[in-house]
Amino acid sequence: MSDPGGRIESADIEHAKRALMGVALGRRPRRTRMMHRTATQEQNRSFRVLRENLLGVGVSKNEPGADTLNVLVRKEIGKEVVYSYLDRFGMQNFPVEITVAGSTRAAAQGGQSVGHYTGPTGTISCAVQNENGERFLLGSSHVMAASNRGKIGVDPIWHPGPRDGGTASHRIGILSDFTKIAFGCQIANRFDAALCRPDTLAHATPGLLHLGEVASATAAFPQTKVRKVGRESGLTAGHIIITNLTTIIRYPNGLDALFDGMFAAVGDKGDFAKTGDSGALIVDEKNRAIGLLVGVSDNGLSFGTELGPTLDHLGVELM
Amino acid sequence: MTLVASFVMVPSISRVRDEARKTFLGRNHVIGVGIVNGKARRIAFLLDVDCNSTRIESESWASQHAVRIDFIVVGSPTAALLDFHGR
Repeated sequence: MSDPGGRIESADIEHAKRALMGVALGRRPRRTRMMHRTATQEQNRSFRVLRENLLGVGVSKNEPGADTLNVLVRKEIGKEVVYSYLDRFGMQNFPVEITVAGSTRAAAQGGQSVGHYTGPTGTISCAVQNENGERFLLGSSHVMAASNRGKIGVDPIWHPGPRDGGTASHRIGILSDFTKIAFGCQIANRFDAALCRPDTLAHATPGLLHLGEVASATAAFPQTKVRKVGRESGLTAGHIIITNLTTIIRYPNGLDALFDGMFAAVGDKGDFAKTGDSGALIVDEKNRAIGLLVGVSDNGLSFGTELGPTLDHLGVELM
Repeated sequence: MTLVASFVMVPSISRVRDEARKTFLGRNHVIGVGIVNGKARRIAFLLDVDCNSTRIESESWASQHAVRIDFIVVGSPTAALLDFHGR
């Protein structure tokens, strides 16, 4: 593969570039013969750090004139992050250079990690605005408002969320509004959404990571082909199999909540969503927004609430 | 000759779904009720565990309401967040 002196074969470079660009495109590494071992917790963390920051991969020459893998990133990351990720493919000894290109994409955009400062971590849905043109980030209530524990106008929201290494220095705004979740199964919920008021406009950039601009909201219909970008599973495709769904979702506090007007989707290849994708915007093939991801089941069903009524309830619109 | 027409009123799929929700949701392992295909009159029951008696009881109910039920065993759907408490 590569010798300890750092010389690499061109086939290996291509292999490493493909592996890294897969991350930039939101793909999860698949198990292949080339994958030497299952991911450790550290490698999973590296994957997320890379996904948040990776802009491109190229090859340059270092001082002795040897080929070097040049990794273009948004913010400074350690080389060990790249090594840790490539180690999964049995590629440890590449000479790697990190080039910080700054923020060429959204500072905070739909599909990226977000969390309440106390811990809950999920996915940014998208940027929205109210009738006065004030911009917000939309996400899950159970993430950004910590399942009803959040304090409006007080609680900081972090990007990435605490489970992805977010700290107080990653604050992007404060909790601005949220729909309260009715636990127990007496009252049916229709929404699980919250708004973050960003500290700067760059912290609420319109559109979705990998998918671009979002069109207007539309209703959920059976067999509609859908896509989403989640912080855990990245970009996935699937289709809706159930609409007008009333179902019970269990929350981390151990309580159940009854939801009305949901829809359920399945993935075309593997799971449509995974734990950590809460809040992800679900769109159709034309990028028309259908709903917000709320829950998942063990057998691969993903549950969403319809976006149109949610936006009306919060008094905001897509932008 | 006298022609006698008899009409059988078939309730709409939304009404049948609402009726199914009232009758079955929260009972006998049914944790969700929704519509799979309105035109084909197919509704879905989400079950936390597979249960034969639920299938038998609800299929007899389905034939009375002219719908077909898809049974989907989903376990316990959970909110898809990560936190610091083991998820």
